[in-house]
Amino acid sequence: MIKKDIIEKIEGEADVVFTQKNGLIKDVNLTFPYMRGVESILEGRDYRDALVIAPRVCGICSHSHLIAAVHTIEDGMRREKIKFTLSDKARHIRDFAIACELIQNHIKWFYLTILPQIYKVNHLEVPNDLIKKASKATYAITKAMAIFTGQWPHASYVVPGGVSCDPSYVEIMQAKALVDEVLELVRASLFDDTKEIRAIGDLHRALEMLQRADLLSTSHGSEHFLALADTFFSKSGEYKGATRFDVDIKKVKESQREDSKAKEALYGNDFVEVGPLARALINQDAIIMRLQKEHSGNIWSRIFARVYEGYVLLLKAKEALESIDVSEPSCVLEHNKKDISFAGIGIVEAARGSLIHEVVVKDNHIHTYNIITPSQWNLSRGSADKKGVARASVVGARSKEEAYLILRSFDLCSVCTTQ
Amino acid sequence: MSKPKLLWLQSITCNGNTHSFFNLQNFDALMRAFDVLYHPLLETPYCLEDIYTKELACDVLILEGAFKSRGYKKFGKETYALAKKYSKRAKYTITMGSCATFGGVFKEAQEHTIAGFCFNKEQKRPTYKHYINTLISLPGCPAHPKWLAYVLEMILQKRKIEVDEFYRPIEIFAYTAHAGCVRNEYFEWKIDVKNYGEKEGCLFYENGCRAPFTNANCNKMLWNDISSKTRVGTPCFGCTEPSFPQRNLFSTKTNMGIPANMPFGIPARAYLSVTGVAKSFRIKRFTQPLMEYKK
Amino acid sequence: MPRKLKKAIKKESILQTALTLFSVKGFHKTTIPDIAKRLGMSSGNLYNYFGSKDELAKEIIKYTSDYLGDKIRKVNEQDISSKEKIRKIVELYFAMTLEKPEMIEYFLRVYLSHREVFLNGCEGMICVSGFITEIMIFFSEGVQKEELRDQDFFSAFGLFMGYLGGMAFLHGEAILEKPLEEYAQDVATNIYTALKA
Repeated sequence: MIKKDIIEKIEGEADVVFTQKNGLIKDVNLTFPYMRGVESILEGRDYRDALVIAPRVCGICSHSHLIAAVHTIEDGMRREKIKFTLSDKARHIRDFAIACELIQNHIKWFYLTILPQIYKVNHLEVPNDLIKKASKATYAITKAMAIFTGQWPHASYVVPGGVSCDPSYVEIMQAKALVDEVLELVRASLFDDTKEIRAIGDLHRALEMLQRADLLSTSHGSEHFLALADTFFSKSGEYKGATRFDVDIKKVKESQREDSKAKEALYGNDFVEVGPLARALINQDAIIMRLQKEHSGNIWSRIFARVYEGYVLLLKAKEALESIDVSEPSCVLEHNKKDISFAGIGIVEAARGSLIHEVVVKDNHIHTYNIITPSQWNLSRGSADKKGVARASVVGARSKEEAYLILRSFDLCSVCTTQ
Repeated sequence: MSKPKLLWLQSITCNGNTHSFFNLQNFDALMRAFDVLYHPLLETPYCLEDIYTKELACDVLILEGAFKSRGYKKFGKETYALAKKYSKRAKYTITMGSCATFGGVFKEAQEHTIAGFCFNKEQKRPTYKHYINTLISLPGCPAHPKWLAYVLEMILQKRKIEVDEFYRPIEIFAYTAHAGCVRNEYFEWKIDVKNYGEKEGCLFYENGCRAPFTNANCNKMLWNDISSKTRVGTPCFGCTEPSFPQRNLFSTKTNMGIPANMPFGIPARAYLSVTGVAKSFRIKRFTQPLMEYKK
Repeated sequence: MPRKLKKAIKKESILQTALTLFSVKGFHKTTIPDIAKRLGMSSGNLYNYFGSKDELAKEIIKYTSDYLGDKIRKVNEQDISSKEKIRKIVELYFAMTLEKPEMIEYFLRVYLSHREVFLNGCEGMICVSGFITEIMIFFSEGVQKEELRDQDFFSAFGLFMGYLGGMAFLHGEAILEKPLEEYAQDVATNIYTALKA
C-alpha cells in the first residue's frame, strides 16, 4: 500500500506521496481531496457580491482575491464601455493595501513557515522568539492597511471605479508611522540597507543553516518563470533561459487532474514558477539576478527573493502613501444602467504569484466565475518526463523533512488551491 | 499549576480566523499562557496525524470552519466526528467564526450537508444539547481577535462568561455593529451616501448596511485596533449573524422604498414615524461636505 | 371627571369646531372669535388651549391625520390579504368622506392650499405622519407577503391616495352620478390591479 503523508500548516494541508530510492526522494505527488466550491457559491449572485465572497477564498491573501475580483469587474466594464475613472488616489490606496498584504504574507511565511523548518532540518531547536517577531510586524502592517480597508482579513473596501474609503492626512500620518515601525523591525533582523542590501540577523542565519545542511548545492531551481500582471511594483513577463518575453494571457491553460481536486495551470504547454523570485527576475532586479547566477534559482534564491520583496514593498508602500492627494475623488463610477452584462478577467500578483479571476455577468448576475491561484502553477503535477515546478525541485532531496522544506519554499497555499 | 491545554482544530475553512487572531497585539504572550497542542500556523508538539489518531487530553477546543457530517476526512477519520469527540472532553468549546458557528460562507456550496458545529444557520442541530454546556460562539467572518482573547482571558481568570441564545458572549454581542459608527448622525437624519468613497452619508438606506440589525461590537472595539467597515465607507454585511452571507450584499432590501429590515427591536411603526419627521427637515450641515479641500 | 381628561375633551371639541368652520367658511375668513362664539366660550379662554390660529390649523391636520391613521392601523393589524385591506381602506376613506366631510375638505382646501401656514412646525410629513406611517406599513407588508409589486413608495402612494382624494373631491362637488359608497368595489379593484405583484 502507498504510504500517504500529509504536509500541514501550508494554509491547510495536502496529501503527499513520496517515491524514494536509495534514501533519496525520486518523486512526489501532492493531491487535494476536497474543494470548497467558491466558484459555485458565486454563480447566480449579483456581481458585486464577488467583492465580499471572493476574499473568503483565503484568509492570508484575501485582499489579493478582492483586487482580482474588482479588476475582473472593471475589465468587463471597460470592454462594455461602461464608464468609470480610477483616480490616482484610489490607485495609490489600493497599491498601498496590496503592498501591506504581501509584506504580511512574506514575513509570516519567513518566520512561521520557512525558518522553523530550516531549524528542524538542521536538528536545532526552533527559537521561541520567532512568533513574536512575526506577530509584531504583522500587527503593525495589517493595522496600517486597515486604516484604508477597514479590516484585515476579509475587507471589501474596493468598489468598481475606486475605493470606499476617503482618508484625510490624519489617517495617512498614522499609516506612515506604522510602516516605519515595520521597516525598523526589518532593518533590525533581516536586512542592512545602509550601503547595499545585505542579509543580516535571521535571514543571514537562514543562509548559514541552509549551507550547513548542504541544501544549496542539492536543491534544484526552476528555469522558467512567469508573472502575468503589471503592477506598481513589478512588470509582467515570461523569463526563460535568462531572457524576458512579453506575456500572452491566451497561453494560460487550466486542466483537470484525475487524482486531485486541484486543477493544473500551464503556460503554453509548460510548467512555470510564479512568485516573488519570478517577479524579481522578470523585473531584472540586479540583486536577485546576481543571486540567481550564483544559486541558480534554488531554495535560497526563492527565500531571499521573497523576503527582499517584502523589504522593497515597504519602501513602495511609503511611496504610495506619500503620493496620495486627499482632494481627489475616491470613486468615480458614472453609469446608471440598471442591469449590466459583461465578461471580464482580472489578474493580480498575489504574494505567491499570479492570480487570475474570470467572470461572465448577465443582467447583473454572475453566470460563471473561474479562479486560477498561484499555487496551482507551482503545484501542477505534469508527467514523469515533464515534471511540474515544485515536483521537480524535490527530486534528490535526502529526506522527507528536506523535501517539505523545499516544498514550503514555494509557499503552497492549500486553501487557495482548494477554492 | 499546569497550563490549560488548547487545541485549534480546523474543518472547512479559509484560515481567516487563524489569521485574524494572529493580528492580536499580545498574541505571543496570550498563547504562552496555554499549552498549545495544535495550531494551524505555529510549531506545536503534536502533528495533525497525532490529533486525528491519538487520544489527547484537551481543555480548550477552538473550532474553525464549517462541518460536513460525512465526507471531510483526514487520516481516515471524519473531522466532524473528531470535533465532537474533543468537544465532549474539553472544558470549553469555542466556535471561532461564522463557518464553525452557523455554517457561514462555505455552507453556501452544499447547503444541505454543511453546517456549523452546533447551529445550522439559526437552527439548533439535533446533537447540539451534548455540547452547549461548554459552548462559546464567536461568529464573524472572521471573528475579531479580541473576542477570542477575551474568552481565553476569562477562562484563565476562571470567570463565568455570560452568553445569549446563540451562546455568544453578551459583553461582546449585546451591541450592534451600528453602535459607534462615525456615520451615526447621517443615520439619525436619514441621509444616505451619494457615492462610495465619501465621508458623508449613511449606508443603511441604499447600500446594504446591516449594522443596525447585526450583533457585534465592531465599531466599539474597532478592527485591527483602528477602523471598521463602515468607517471606511463599506457597508456592514452582517457577518456575525446566522443568515450570513445574504444575497445582493451591496443593496438594501426595501419594500416600496421602506427598509425590509428594521434596526433591532424597533417596530416599523416607530421607525417610520421618526423617519418621516427626520426627513421633513433639510439640515444644511448635512448637505455639505464634512471638509472641503481648496484646490 | 379628572381635570386633565376634561381639558382633553374640551380641546378636541375646539379642534372639531374649528375644523368645521375652516372647511365651510375658509381658513382666512374664519377668526378665533368665530370659533369661540360657536363653542360658547370666550376668545381669551380659547387662547388658553391654542396660542394662535396657525397653531390651531396645525393641530387640526395632526388630529385628522391621526384619526385616519388609527383607522388604517386597525386594518393593518387584521390578518387578511392586501386585496381585502385595500377594499377596507377604500371603504373607511369613503365612510370618512361621508361622515366627516370636513376632515377631507380641510385636508384638500386648507392643508394643501395654505402651505405657508404649515411651513413652521409642519414641515414635510411631520403633521401627517400618523397617516403616512400606516400607509407605509400597509405597502411594505404587502410587498413582503409578495401580494404587492415592489416599486417606489411615492408612485404607489400617489396612485392610491390621489385616486381616493379625487373621488372625494368629485363627491364634494356633487358630480358623481351614484352614491360614493357604490364606487368602493370598482375603486378597490382598480387600485389592487394597479398595485398587485
